[in-house]
Amino acid sequence: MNQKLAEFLSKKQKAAEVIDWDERRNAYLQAVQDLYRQIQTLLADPLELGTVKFRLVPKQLSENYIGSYSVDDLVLVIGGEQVRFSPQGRNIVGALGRVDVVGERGEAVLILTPASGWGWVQSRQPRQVEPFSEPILADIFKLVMRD
Amino acid sequence: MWETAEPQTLDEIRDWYRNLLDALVQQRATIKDAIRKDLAVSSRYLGMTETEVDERYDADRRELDRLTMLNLVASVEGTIKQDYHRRIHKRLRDPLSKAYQKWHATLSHKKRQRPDFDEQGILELLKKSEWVDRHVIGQFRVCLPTRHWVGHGRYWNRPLEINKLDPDEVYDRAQALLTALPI
Repeated sequence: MNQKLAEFLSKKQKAAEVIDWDERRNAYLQAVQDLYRQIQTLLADPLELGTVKFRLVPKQLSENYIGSYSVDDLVLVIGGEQVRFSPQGRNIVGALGRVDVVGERGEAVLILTPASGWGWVQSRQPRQVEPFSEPILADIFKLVMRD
Repeated sequence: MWETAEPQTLDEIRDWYRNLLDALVQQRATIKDAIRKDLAVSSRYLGMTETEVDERYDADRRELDRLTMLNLVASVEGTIKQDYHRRIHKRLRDPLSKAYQKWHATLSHKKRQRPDFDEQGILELLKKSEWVDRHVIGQFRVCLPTRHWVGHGRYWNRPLEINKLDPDEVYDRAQALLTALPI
């Protein structure tokens, strides 16, 4: 190899921080599972009554550095209408992961924040991220579902 | 003639364009680095994936290109009109100035202040006079639909020419026209 090229590559290698991308992916997948579990808990009664149905649909994501991996969409069927929680990836600006909530009328974005877990991005500027909770889930349903 | 006029040269516009382009490229690199290192950046990008960051960059770049092309063409229009008024008011005696003065005398009072530029205007006069290479004028005219579309609110179909042009191409065509003008 040309010495100049070798020196350049060596310099880049030394400058690069060692990032454990597998660990990042696994932490994200775990957080997605935790979110789904939280939703199941919040909807325990209607799920038991059968007024809300819950199913997981596997899909593939592909991201720089991480590569391809499998993750589940969570699909809720509420009164004949479908709401899909759809993971978008780990490599997200200002967050440790993202899940979109897609309804028949609109979409909402959930991000994983280091400080307070999953939160709903209500506004980027000014930054307004509401921690995920039962009232927030209700607000999101109202936003993304038909009237 | 106009005390608060702020004409820009083609080189000033190109410098401005290159500065902003550098800033855009740097901004994208900073955001992507922030994603990789889990660093905070402006909340304007909060929650975006890398693909969305790229899409935003492409959109910003496209907009910068379009505004720059508008500015470059408008600068040529300003320079040529300034030159036109100079030749009229100083009553220069060269053939182009005489042709301008003859045409100027046929215009209404309003048009004398702001003569048409393209069709039935100064460019047409230059083309007919053959003091400027017709090909150079033709090449510059290809830039005009894009300039009009951007400058008038883009409310009609995007001109096909826009896909063939970029700021460097428009700069070259604009520079060629100004260079071809007889002094």
